[in-house]
Amino acid sequence: MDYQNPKIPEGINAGRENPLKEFAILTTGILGLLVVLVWALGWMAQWAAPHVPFSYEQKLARRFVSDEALSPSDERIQRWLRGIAANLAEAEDLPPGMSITVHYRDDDIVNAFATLGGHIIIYRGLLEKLHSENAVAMVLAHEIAHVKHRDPIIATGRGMSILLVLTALTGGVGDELADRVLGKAATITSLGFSRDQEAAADAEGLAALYRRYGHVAGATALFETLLRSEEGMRVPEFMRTHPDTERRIGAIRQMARSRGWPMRGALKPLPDFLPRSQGA
Amino acid sequence: MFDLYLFLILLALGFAIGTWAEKRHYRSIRRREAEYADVLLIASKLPTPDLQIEESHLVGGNTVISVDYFKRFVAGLRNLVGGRMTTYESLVDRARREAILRLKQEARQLGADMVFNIKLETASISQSANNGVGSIEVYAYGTAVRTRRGR
Repeated sequence: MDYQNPKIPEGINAGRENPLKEFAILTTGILGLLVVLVWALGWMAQWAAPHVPFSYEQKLARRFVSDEALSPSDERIQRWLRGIAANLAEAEDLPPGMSITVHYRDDDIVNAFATLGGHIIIYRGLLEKLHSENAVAMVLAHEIAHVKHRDPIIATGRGMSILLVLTALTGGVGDELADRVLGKAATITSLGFSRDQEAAADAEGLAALYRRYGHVAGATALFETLLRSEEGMRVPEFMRTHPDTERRIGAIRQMARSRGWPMRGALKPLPDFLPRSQGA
Repeated sequence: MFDLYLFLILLALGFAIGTWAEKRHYRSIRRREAEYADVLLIASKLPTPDLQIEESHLVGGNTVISVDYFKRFVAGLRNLVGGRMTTYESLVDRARREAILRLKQEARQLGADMVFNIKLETASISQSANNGVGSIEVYAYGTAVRTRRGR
């Protein structure tokens, strides 16, 4: 009997296709799907979140927002801020059961934000940049508007559902580093409010400012200060959740003009127990 | 951000070095397959009686090949949607052919010209460790015989 081994042709058991092609198809396909999924989930959260009772939101917030022990002078500042906030909350006509709690934090961070349960955190760093009660009121009115629009619970719902899907998905990739990268992408996309939410809060806040003080002077003070400190470090707009500062100033001015709210008026000075920034 | 860069660097390195190593391995495989073409591999269990066998040995060839980062990532994505794992197919192909070549090498060293009853075993190594790099083992074995036919 004659035995022989013929030469086996190549490319049958292992394809000759460029692996980059498969990589490109898979990444674009899965990323595309992910984007659609995340968008759909965000939309669903936006629809569902306002139906969460505010009392439940307050219960949720109790886990991570608490009154910090403040020094007597900081306590005084916080009381003053809460007084302004109470007036503005009245001006914004919050729905029944909704309450606002302002917390003052002695820290250099230039920031203020609204979170679950109607809690608003404002830092000394930001307060030092404001030079009238009206400017402080605009910041608070903006944050109160976020609470009124249920933005914190919407952002939380969106973030949670996106995280849930990604956790379920990335478990399949099975690589620790790839999972971490995807997880981080999820937190970045889910943090913060959308630009539409910011613009809506600006409008609502401005209206409250007008109702409370009879004019909207000082409304753009914070943005003008920010604009000055932003110079030299321009961040592309799509990287930030807040609309471009110049555009926000423009939108506020235009709204005041079209409603006939005076942009000039007597600014209420700040009480002298407020911290002053060095050199001011 | 550091994680992202590390991930992209690993992916690029995995692809560049992995592709280079695979091409080099395939060249070597093709060259040696031609070199050992006269050692015949027969799947049947027993030689036909007309072959006069002078000597027989158990021979085996073993190889372990590792997955690179790029292949693993693409396979991970493939895991989500299903389908042919083409990035792993070339890996298994290389491992099988390399194991057979080593078996042929051993057979030739023993003076054999044919190997009967060829069998292949495969196992995956470090599959359980989730963050370990996966690799596959292929073991080829058979009965090498020296026949009168050879001279």
